[in-house]
Amino acid sequence: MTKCIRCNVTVDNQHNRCPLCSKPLKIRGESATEYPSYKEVYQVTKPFTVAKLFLFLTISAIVLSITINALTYHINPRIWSIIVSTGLIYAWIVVKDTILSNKHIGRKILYHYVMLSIFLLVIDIFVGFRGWSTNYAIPLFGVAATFIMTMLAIVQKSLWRHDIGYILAMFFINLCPMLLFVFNLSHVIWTSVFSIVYSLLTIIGMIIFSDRKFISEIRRRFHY
Amino acid sequence: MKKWYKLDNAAKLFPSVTNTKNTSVYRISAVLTNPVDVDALQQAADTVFDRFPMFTVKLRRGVFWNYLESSTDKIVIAEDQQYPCRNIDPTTNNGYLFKVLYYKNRVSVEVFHALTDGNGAVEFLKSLLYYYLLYMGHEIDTEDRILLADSGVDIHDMEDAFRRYYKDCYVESVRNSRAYHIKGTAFEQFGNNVVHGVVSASQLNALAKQKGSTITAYLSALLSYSIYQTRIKYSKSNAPVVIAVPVNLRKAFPSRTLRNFFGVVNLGARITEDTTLDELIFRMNEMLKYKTGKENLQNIIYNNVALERNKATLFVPLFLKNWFVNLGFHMLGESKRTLTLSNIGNIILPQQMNEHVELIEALVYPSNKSPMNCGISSVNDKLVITFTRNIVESDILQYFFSTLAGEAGLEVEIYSNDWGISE
Repeated sequence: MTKCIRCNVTVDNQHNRCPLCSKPLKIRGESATEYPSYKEVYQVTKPFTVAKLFLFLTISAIVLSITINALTYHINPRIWSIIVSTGLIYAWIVVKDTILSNKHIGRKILYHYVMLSIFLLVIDIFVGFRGWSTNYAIPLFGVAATFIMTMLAIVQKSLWRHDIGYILAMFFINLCPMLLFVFNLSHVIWTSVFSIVYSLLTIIGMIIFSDRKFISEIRRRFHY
Repeated sequence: MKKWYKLDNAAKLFPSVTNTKNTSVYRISAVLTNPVDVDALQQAADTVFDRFPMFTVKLRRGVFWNYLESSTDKIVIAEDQQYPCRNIDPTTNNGYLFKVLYYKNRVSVEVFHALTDGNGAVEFLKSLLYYYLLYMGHEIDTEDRILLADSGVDIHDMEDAFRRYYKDCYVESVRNSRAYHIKGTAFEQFGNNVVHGVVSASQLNALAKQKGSTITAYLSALLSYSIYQTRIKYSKSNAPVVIAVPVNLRKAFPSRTLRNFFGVVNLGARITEDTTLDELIFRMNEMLKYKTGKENLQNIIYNNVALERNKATLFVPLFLKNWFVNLGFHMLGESKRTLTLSNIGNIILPQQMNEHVELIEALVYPSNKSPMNCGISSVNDKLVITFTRNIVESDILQYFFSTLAGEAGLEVEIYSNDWGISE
């Protein structure tokens, strides 16, 4: 025990400086109240990582394409850089959230589906909106995403623990193409109806082929 | 089939507002007289496992609510290596939201606040230490103060007491102004620095009594005064210093729950050049007495539960709830308090355990807006005042401890984890 005259307190032997005012004290010793030395856990922040490299390349490519687009606009009056940028952002999501991430596979599929839908919609809009994305691509990809999730759930036998939430989420997402139809953004109804019916059948299938687990799972997720 | 629990009323907040810089993880440690024996501690952890089913759970996300799912995985004790109150990564640690750590003579439990409050964590630590000491070959009479592993789980341990004591009542809400916020330089490596000051509990109590106050009110006043003297005095700010004091609701509303059952009362004061410490102690004490009155606490319960009982919340998806809760937390909670001072009180151990336990420490996690928080706990007449901070500046605590030692004349013994200080 050493007295720190400046702070008027006694300082434990483990310190060679007063923790309050940093005044140097006598040589340090051992103590029961000692904390671990944090030397090993101080991480050096790495200036160069794969994720950072991809981020930099993505941003550079986006900035470059917008610049070129602006400078050549008088030759080719189309805003093509938006399509390139959205594509690059989608590629970035693929790298960051699918390859470099250890998130649950259901979530990755969900992300992909949402991002891909946005990407296709952007392409559709900027090449003269003909509606192929909202009519066919988005609802049918929704069916594909639900199918992949169901297959994974069956193969990995992880339906009740992890996947059911995402399959339920896909059901609600598959309702969205229907909204597109209601708001006149889509003119083909069979695809959206198909995606809803498909996910509905998936859920009905889960109920029929399940035991009590399904009900209990629904209960805890909805808290009713 | 796996059991599951709803999050209790207070716990619903934490998953929404937690991130790496506001971890919602607090720590309660016991410094023992002898170095910790790892095998005995692991054995003790295995023994208490069944008695605390509300601890051995994993957090899962539903569509509308988070929920806790019970697990049978082992509690794995680990050597303390990281800074205290670090966020708990649910992909490690067997998915559990609490950790049992050891280093030299210290046994620590770090708990994510959604599981339980300080009271629950102390009960867990007491049981853990009891079995640890038992396996170390000590004979201990429990004096009925320890939850024993073979006593069976009581349904009352798991109640959401907020719901039991919810009563419809009329609450007047007063708009409070923003509180003064401590600013500082972040450590080069983000982490928490801890400074403990040990004083005699009886001497501090006598001192507080002499001023006509309690320990909590006395220390809150001294801390506000320190913040004024070191910071506000030299700034243009005239924002009030607001100390948030968590209150254990079990005293006013009897419950044996081992889950969250606490409310927070704010003790605020606008301090000026003319304010004396004695005056501040008096004001803080009156405010604390008034705000911890049963009627006021009933209002706190009402406010907490009313929102949850609102039928509309049943249909709001979880991600939107997270967003709103986060917003509310920052607007109504964080911005209206300067710091948190949590007094978990005097922990009474069975007589035969006392000789093995030197100190009990309580560490309250800091956050962005309150970069420094204070935890108080005592055992065996040794009271530990702990400051956990994520900023470099130590001026406030220096003033605080110096005043406690100088003017109040107490013997203060300081030690720290030196995070960010030693190179």
